[in-house]
Amino acid sequence: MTTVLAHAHPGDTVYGQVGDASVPLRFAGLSAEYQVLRDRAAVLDLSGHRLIEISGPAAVDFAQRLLARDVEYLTSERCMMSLVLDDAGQVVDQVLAFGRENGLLLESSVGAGTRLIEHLRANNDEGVEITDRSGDLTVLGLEGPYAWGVVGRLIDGELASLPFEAVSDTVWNDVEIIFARTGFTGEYGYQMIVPIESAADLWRAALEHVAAAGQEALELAMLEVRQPIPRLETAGGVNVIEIGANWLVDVTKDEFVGKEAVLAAFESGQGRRTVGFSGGDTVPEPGARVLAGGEDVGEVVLAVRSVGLGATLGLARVDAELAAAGLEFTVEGVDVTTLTSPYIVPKSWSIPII
Amino acid sequence: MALRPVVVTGLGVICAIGRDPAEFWHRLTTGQGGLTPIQDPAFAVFEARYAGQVPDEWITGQLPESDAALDRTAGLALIAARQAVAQAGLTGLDPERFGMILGKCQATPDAAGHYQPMHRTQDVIADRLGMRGPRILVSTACAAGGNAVGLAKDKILVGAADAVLAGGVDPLLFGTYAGFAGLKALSTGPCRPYSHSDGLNLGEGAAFLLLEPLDLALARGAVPLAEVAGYGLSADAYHATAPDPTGRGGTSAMRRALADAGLTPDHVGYVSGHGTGTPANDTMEAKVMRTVFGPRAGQVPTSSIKSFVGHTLGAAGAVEAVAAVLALRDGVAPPTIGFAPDAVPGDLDFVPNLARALPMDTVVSNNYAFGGNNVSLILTTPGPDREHTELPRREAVITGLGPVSGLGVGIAETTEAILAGRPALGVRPSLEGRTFAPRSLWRHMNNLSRMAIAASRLSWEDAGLKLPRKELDDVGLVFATGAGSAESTGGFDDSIAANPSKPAVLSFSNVVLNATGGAVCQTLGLRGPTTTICNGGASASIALDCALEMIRAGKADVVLVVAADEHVTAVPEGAFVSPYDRDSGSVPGSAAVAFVVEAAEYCAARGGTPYARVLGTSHVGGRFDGIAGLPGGRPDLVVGAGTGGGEDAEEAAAVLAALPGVPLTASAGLTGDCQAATGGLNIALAALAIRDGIAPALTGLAAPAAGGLDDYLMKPNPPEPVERALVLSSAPGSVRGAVLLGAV
Repeated sequence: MTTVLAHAHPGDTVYGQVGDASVPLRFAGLSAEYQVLRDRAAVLDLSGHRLIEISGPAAVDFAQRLLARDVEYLTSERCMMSLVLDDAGQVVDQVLAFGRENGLLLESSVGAGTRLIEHLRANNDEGVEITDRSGDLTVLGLEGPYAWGVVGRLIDGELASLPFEAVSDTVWNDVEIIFARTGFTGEYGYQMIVPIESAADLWRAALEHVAAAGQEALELAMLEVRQPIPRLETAGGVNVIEIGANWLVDVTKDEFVGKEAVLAAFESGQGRRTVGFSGGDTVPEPGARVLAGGEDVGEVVLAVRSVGLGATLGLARVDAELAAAGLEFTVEGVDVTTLTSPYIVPKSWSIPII
Repeated sequence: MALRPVVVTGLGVICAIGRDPAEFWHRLTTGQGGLTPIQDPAFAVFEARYAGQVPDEWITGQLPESDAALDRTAGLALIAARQAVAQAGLTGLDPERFGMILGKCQATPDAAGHYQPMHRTQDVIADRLGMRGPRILVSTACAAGGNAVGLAKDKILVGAADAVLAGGVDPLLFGTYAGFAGLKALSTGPCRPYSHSDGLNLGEGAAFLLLEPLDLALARGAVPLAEVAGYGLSADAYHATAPDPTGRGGTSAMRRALADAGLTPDHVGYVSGHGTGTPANDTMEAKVMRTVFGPRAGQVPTSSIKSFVGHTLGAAGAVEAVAAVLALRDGVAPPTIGFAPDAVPGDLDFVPNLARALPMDTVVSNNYAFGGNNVSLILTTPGPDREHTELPRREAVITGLGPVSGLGVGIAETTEAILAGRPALGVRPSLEGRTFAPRSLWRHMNNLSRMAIAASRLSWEDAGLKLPRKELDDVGLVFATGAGSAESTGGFDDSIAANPSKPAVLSFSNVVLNATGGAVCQTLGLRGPTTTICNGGASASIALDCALEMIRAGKADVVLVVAADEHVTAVPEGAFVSPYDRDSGSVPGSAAVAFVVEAAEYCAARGGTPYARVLGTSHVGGRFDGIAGLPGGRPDLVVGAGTGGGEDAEEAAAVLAALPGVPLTASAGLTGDCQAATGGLNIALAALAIRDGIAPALTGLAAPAAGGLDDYLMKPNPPEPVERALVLSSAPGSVRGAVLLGAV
């Protein structure tokens, strides 16, 4: 799936295939895009996030069974993030669920739409309508400590101070859009679900106020605040607890697909845990071994060069008793230190919306 | 043609800057604030010490010896009420045409320091002033005073009264002070709204406005001071204590008020702001100003007199309404004092530090409250007498029932229990394992909110309402409760007793009586007009009255009435409870009951199936004197206010005398006395009797206090189809009400 905004992006945009989507990885270079995102505000091409509509009389029952968090009373002015699991408790995807008048709208993580929609259709016991809306709708994001100001200039200042995960159906440039306060990076974050034919206009209008950031800058900023990046963290048959995504499931729900496996994982206490680390200049590959006192205690999940820290930043999955901040490990001969999240304090935490 | 103009003809106020309106206005216009450090050593535990206190001698100096034993709250209120009546020169009015709407935020102590019913202060004032007309205690926290003025206008417009005292009162209470300190909401110095918003100061006081129809006021030679041109209510549906940061609720309240008055933002010359001095409020309020007035926002001066008197909670809206009337009269805007000289000049005009002569014909007074309740009042320069029309009548129906009691959860379980004659005296409803709200909210809610939300959602589903988001913005909610959450009040009081520096802040946010109504709005996403009524067992029927007035005035097509009360003490085992039995006692109960009220044509258009039409309502204040003044028409069933004690015998005798042959019953024998919820349940079950022919029976009645067993409903199936049912409600010693329902 190619981004619907390809014609609006500069010719030297660097694209990459992420799952089923071709997405812009970089526009002006990772470092510059990262700085814009952390210091001011950046517009994001999130067209690699698939939009799937669940409708029909049993839509809420279906979503309540398929999503791991409680969406029974998700109104049309709220959205929430949730995992979607399979029967074995493995992560199918991490979705943003929007309450709608006639059901729900699910936004997949980047490149995971095909897998998600196949899973939903395979589990459609309730006979709901499952419609891929990516042919007519797409998603743009705004993130950064001053993203709220951009919202005011671009759409409506009143929307900037919406509470987190609030949704408003609004109009931009005579086009009906779904506006949501969300956020992946710890900064003020907003999403706009727009008709595809208007997406380029909104993108260009946003660029009058901010610069664009690609997938690499976005995922770096996500990692820095320990926002799960499912495509990089869920491989290898790990369970929810090993990933550290407990907050994206709600075991107090009566039932959901994968609940028994999650409960079993909770009860067993077995398996490894994920912890952040930093140190050195080299960037280890996923799977690199993590040593403690010379003993193999786990492996690297992902690692990148953090612009904000000026050092390597990564996630390691290690023995549970070692998943704590302040420990010294060795990765490929380099000393690293485990961290407590967030690894970078977002500026937005000290900047009020005015 | 315009509706009947309603004017203010008398003012009364006592607060930190004045013992009467003249002194109050002099200090407001000369910038003499009244925020001073509290000298009571008990308050030394708090870092913040400033408050707007009323000197004791201002109270004792204005009360005759016969009133010396009154508690502080009643004393403050009585002083302001008498001032308003005196200025209006009101004498010789039929007591049953003279009403009172009082706003109050806190449950206040009697002279001995014990909690008293919310409406007790009001009863004291009404009895002393000889008032027997409509009597409503409105408790929308910090919006209550302004809310009271609006409801008073409604009472005049629907013809229920010829004069209404509307106002608010609250004293400075240690517990409340500790709660605000716990929320970190207090400024350590005199508050400085809009410039150095670092917190509020609490205050105390009372204020009243005497409202009457313009034509009657002029006919008796009174001088109108201002017209109450309109008012608007709204619910944030956002958070228990924090205002919606978008300002959406405040904006809709002001827009509704302007629409009610038939005015536009361009007419407004001055805005009396809520201006508490907290960053959340002041920021939100600036947004409201910009949204409502647009590019003209900077040309509409707005100021906060809380910079003089502190936040007087339930009195604030009334105190500020008095100031707004005086501003209008003299063409002077009081300033926001303490305005920081180094404040960055913004785009709004907060009338910093100095009063300003300002030609104005229209003033808006805004208040925003815990629970997300907002109110805007529109006051205008009084015009000449003019032709007017009566508020058009609009038929209303009850379309959905949501009882949650020991009998069951929902109308189906409740009906089954009634048919089986299975009482659940004092039994708390079981919601174990069931959620009626997102779990993230549900798990933090107290029991009263859970019951009320369950009842609301069930009534909504029973009504078959499926409204899009946009229409939910106009759905009203009227919450009725005698005492609010006993669980939260108890928890908060216990925490204060243990350590006032560590109050249970979550409980504190639920101590305000309107908190549960706010939680219902938040959960169901209702943002229409909303208010909270606290008149004991008569709360639900008064709430229905308010809902009908909202519908009649065209402010809502759908209004949810929710009544809830709870008890947390043990119920005596083996207690015999049978209303109207001379050997019966009474036991407390816990329940929530919601019912949906809709404009009849709205319900018909959507294909709804009503239970019953509302044929009429009536309320009278004062002690029980029979069922005179109740709506006409002979009913087929009377569902009485009997609880097993109290005024059961008098009520039964009065009903049997007035309506011989009409079976009398009541629901409290099944559930115990659930105060407001029993009133709500009686209305709901009367509607059920009309549509489905099922009514609560007095199965345990053996020795009737009046008449014989044949005079009572002894089986759950009334002998004849119920075409009309009369429902009685009662807050003993305070107010009695009646609701007449009919078949559709």
